[in-house]
Amino acid sequence: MRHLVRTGLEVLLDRAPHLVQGKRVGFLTNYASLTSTHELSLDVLLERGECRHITVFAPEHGFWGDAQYMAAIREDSWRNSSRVTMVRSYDPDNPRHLSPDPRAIANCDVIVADIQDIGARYYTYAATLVKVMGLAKDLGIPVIVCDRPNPIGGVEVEGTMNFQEPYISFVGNLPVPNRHGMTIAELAILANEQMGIGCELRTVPMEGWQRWMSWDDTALTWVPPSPNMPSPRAALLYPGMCFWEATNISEARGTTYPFDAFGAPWLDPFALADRLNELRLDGVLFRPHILTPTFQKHKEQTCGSVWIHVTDPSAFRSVRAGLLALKVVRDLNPEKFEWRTRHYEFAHCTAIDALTRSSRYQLLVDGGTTDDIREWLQTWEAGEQAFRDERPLLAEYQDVREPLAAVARIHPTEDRVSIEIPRAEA
Amino acid sequence: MKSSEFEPRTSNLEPRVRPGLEVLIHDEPARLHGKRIGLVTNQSAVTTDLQHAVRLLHESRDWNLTALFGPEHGVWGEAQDMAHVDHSTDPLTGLPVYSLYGKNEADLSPRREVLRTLDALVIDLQDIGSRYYTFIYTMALCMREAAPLGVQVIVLDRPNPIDGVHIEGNIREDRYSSFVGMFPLPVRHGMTAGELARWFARYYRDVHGIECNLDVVPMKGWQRSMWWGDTGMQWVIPSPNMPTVYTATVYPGMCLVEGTNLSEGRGTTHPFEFFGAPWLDSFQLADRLNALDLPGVRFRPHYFIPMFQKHAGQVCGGVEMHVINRASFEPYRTGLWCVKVARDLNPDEFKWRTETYEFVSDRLAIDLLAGSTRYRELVESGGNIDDWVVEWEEPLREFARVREEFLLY
Repeated sequence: MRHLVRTGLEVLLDRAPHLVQGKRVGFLTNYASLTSTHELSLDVLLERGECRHITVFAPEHGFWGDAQYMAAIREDSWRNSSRVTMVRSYDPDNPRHLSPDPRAIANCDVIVADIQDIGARYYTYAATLVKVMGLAKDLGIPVIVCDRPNPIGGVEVEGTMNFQEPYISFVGNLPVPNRHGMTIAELAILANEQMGIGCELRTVPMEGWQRWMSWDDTALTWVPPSPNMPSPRAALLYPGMCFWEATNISEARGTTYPFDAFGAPWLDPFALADRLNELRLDGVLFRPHILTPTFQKHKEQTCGSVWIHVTDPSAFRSVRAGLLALKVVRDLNPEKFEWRTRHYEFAHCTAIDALTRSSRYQLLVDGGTTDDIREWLQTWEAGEQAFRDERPLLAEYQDVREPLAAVARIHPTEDRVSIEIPRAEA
Repeated sequence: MKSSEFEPRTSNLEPRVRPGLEVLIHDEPARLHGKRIGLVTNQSAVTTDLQHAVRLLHESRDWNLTALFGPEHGVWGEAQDMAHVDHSTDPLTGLPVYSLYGKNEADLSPRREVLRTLDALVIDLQDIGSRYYTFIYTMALCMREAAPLGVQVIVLDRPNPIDGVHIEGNIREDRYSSFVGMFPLPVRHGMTAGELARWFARYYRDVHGIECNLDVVPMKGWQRSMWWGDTGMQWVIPSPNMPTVYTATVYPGMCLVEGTNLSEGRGTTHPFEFFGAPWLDSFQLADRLNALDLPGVRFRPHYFIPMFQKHAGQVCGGVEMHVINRASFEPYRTGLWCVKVARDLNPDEFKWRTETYEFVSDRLAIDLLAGSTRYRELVESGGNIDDWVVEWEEPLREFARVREEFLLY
């Protein structure tokens, strides 16, 4: 059963079109932002927004999801419309340029953001938004963040909270845990208030979204927000399976199922699955698998691997599962396992320290036991609870699943359910 | 209360469907007692709690598992499509593994000297409901080879992930028999592997005079109307380019792209959902396809770079197809239109595939896939695909009548 969810952009155009009408709009978006009618947000804003001009700022990966496309397809035009200019805001060769050229922003009357986050601190689109908000503040330009779902839900919170140097990097410049359980608009509010940005910020909530919903509970179309984020399944695993990027273990990039599986040429898939299942982690089973990456780590080598089957998404703790699995992998073949030491996403510390925001985990893996890691994970709980209680959440999104059944109605043609939700007080 | 349409999220629900493997091991192990068995399988042969067939059948002392046979992609799914697989030793059990996807067409069947050492050949392969997918033909060839030797074939059934109700397509003509269509079936047959085995056994008896000793172990709890997401089972990729049930949903149509020089999105994380080519204009293609107003599907302009195979490393203009209503979606008709529209936009750049395809070099891949020359002729002459679609209707109704006798659910 899927529920009709209308995106923030649709709500903006319905209820407050004057905010963009006749304006020069800077639009932070990419190809993955579709409306509930399966149309590209950029097309919808262009057709219905009556903007004077739209300057599109694409985040990491470029508008079409891969920076390599820039050269090949003249990303500077959109349907030959003279009302649209395409600008890039992420240049991997030039880390100082993590945000659009301030001159492009200065030419806008208002900044609108409609960008798909996936619920993990390391995903860079929110970081780009924060940079844009900072520039807008300096230039005195208002920012409107049109909300989209957190594809892994808005309830669960998991991870470390440390927000001090040297752990601030592009893979985590927001003061949130690894899995934050917030939407992009809520992240913008948090950044504006807690990071001292203080721009003129307006958020536009979705209609029909509830905190408990995962992506598959909505009738929205999944578009991979980046090339290696093919499914909501991958998004659920990502907060914990991103840690392989800090090692010489393949996270199954170069296959059709990145983050669903991990492996390396020296691993015995059967022993690995047995060891991992012995951990008796909540909501997950590991199945022996063999993967052969077509590019990146261990390219064209047969890798012993396990597939991560989430059997109960609400009980599954991705970050804890990932950190414990990594320890098991390392202990099976300590002589083969290596930490990544190369430059990683502009961080000023090692990759694993940046991802965990701690120097403790690497020490525990190299010199401690699985129980030591479990003990360390337990120390997170108070911080997680505090964050869960204190994070700024939009009042429009509730977490009341059961009573909804009474008001749900089946959409006649699309197998969908739309829900009447009491409007929050204005 | 919350169940998803496509994705195999089991939530905390108990699995509603138990595959044939589980029924055999837990309820009806007597079917194997005292037998020397071989197992034709791959990584997707698991129980609802993800125990694998190789381990389960190897552990029992009530019978003797002596040999494994791997279909296309191998027993553990390690090889790419159309990559030959050699004989080897199984890393888990140490048993010999015989490849059923070798260098030549003759290497697609189990060897008789191996079959002679067995009492029964157990087959547990996850099919995906399209006539092109080769595992059902591996099963058929096993049945054909085992029959004259008196070796029993036991098929452990699994769900058709795209349901057992919807059927679509022309019936494959005899001249276009190949490893992507060994039997006169429509592209979307709406049957399970176990049901197809019963159909194949009858075909072998009636057409070739071969009497198969076939035993099918049905699932428990499966109903024809179920899509994969309704089964409560975990999706285990049956082949490297079949990552999700979405892929299986579009595959009955989008596999046709393999018969052309367009990219079917292999080398990306969304094979078969993307298609395109370096010379295609994504917006034009999406606008034309959306203008057809095909039921249950929308096309979104997209650019992608295949990391291997066709147009590797090049930016391809194309579309992603989004199925928004799987009940009304017609995957095969949609695929037929996709290729035609792409060809009409750039007739000079578009080419049919002429290289050997699935061991066949004297007929074009597109004719093998469509099971007829009719489609290619229509495209080349600028004809209307829907004129052909109307012509299938009666033969398809006849197929629906014929298949009744073989259905188990």
